Amino acid sequence: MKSKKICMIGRFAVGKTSLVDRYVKNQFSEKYQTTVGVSISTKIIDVTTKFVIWDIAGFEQKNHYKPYLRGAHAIIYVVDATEPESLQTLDQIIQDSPELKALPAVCFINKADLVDNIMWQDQFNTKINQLTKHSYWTSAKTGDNVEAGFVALSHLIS
Amino acid sequence: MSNDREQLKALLLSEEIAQLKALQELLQNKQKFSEKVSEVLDPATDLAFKANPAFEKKLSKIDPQSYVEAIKANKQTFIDALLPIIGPMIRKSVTSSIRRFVADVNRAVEMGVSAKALKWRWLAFRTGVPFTEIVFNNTIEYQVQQVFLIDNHSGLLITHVGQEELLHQDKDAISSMLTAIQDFVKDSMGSDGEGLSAAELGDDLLWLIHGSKANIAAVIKGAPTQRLNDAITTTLEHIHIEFNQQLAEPNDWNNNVELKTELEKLLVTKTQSEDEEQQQGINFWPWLLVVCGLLAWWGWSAYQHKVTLNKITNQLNQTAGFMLTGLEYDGGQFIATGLKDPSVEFKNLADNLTVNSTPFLSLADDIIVKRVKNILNDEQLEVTSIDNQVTIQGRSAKDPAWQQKITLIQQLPGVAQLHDATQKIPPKATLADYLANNPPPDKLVVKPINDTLFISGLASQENLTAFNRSIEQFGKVDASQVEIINRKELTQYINRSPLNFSQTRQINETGLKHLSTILSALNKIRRLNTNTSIKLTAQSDCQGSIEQSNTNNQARLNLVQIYLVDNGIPSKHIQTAVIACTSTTNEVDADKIGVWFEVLL
Repeated sequence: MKSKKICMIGRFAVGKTSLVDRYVKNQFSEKYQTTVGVSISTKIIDVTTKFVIWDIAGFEQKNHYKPYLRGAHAIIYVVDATEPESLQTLDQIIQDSPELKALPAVCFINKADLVDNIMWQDQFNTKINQLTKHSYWTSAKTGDNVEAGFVALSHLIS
Repeated sequence: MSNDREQLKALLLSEEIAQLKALQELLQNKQKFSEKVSEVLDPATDLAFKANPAFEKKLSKIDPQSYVEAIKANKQTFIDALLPIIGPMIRKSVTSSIRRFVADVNRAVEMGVSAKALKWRWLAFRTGVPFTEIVFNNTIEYQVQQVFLIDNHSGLLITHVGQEELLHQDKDAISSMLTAIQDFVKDSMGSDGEGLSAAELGDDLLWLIHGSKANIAAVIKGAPTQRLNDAITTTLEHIHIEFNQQLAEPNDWNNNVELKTELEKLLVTKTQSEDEEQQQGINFWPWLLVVCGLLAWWGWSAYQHKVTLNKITNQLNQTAGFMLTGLEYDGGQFIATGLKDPSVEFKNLADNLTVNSTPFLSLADDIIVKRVKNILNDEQLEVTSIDNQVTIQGRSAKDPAWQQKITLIQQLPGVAQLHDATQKIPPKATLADYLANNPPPDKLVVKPINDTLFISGLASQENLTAFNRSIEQFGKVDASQVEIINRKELTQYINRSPLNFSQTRQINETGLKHLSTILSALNKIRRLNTNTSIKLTAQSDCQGSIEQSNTNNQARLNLVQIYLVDNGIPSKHIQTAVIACTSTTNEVDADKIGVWFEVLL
């Protein structure tokens, strides 16, 4: 079995940890607990692959997160559908670490369950397409598309 | 109308109104209301708990903040309340620590004399490694439980050895988290070095050894030594050399048997020698040595004690007049008990010996001899006693007191028979008796004062010497006051000193001087013996006529004789003679003219 390092990237409070919890533990908590440094979880995808998921915090601090990205096999970008400003964080990260563009990646547009608060516009999709062609409207709360997103990533890696 | 209604109300509801007022008063009076409620509070809460379990939970809910506030406000109260709980806990902990300490000391003591310790000392001597380090390395207890080989780029696990069931987390997650922590520490502390190298996890220790491509994380239980750290570092370096390609290729990471085997070498367990002893049984050697030492010491002490006891027993048994009845040893002191004759005196007794004796009269031969000698008081007498048969030998004056002593000895206890084999010594002559029979020569006088005989007066040397010898038997002689007169020399002087003169009417001045000297010498001789006489012989050179010569000889003889008589020499002690001339000579010879002297003793 081969281990694959997957890094979750995104602005604070976009739901990175919730998505991991949903995928790994199938749990969700309404309570927000900020991640300090990095949180690591593992998930066996199949008999040959195991995801080691690095849920990284602190993207607001320039270069602070960079050491955690070393050796990553794939990236999961996460944005908040109710806060399009979270896309700007991804732009900043890509500017700081352009090598990430070369890695297999998916993008989770999270909090899709908050229908009344979604402020998504088509132009945002254009921006996401510059990062990855594989984006999913996900809800950590309901679990919608979470599994599908990770499975898609595993296919991309393999 | 209104009054009517009030009256009607009073008639119909007066009792109820009074009760309502009483109730109102009860509610408004806190004291009374509290008393009333307190009566039903206990059964009411029981009913409430029974009907609604959630209510009980609410009542038992603890607010931690309230404890904090209460402790802040009443520190001493909480200390007093917790002391009965904390005190025994502390004592238990201290006791446990002391037990461990005692166990360590015991182990160290055993190590000091065990074969293993000797082996380690030899090893230390041979290798130059300090003995303490060897002991430490061989007695320290630790166990390497988990070893992770982690790719230091991605933080992914290359391989892992150890018991996975002991891990609370997924090994991949652990290796990633360890890498993340390292990165976090390095990033936070701004260190340019290798970052985190060790961490403590409760009783466990985590070591992180850094390599160029991979790191080793080892979870160790106990207290490892630096040597283990060195061993892990060496292994990591070896892995980088031998498995360089495998480390670079993630596809070769998992389940690499050779890599696993290499890492498994690090899964060492170091246990204390106690564990080995438990497996092999108790090591009796140190104890056996101690017991042998104690036995040897006890045997040696017992032997020394017996030797001393025998020596003391023999000494006391051989002491005449002492009958040993018991000998004990108490507190490092020998205590002898027995019967002791008053005449016994112990000599050269050991310092640690005390004699407690009861007086008694001994009939031992030695004691009888001692008693007899005390009575005789004469060192020259020899006394023997054999089977109470007493014999006295030697010389004795056998004066009147002798018989009394013999009678006394015969009455002594233990004297069955007395043999007086002494010879009688004739009684010594007294000084007076001696001097009566042997008067002092010359003019000597003897005067005894105390034990000294003082001699004074005149005597010739030879007479004084002979007299001294003869009276020495009566005491010490002091002859310092004796005036020694050398009669022999004086006599020779007089006999060899003729008075040569030729005058016939008077003696010249020179002649008189010579004659005076002769007279002085003669007087000295006469002081020793007043009967001493002198013979005067006159002669001449016979020059001239024979008749005249003879006349002149007689004249000269008379001049000398008159002088001597005039100076105190009795005439009866003066003999005269003239050598008459029978022929004449022609030559004058002055040396042949004069008077010659001869002392007649």
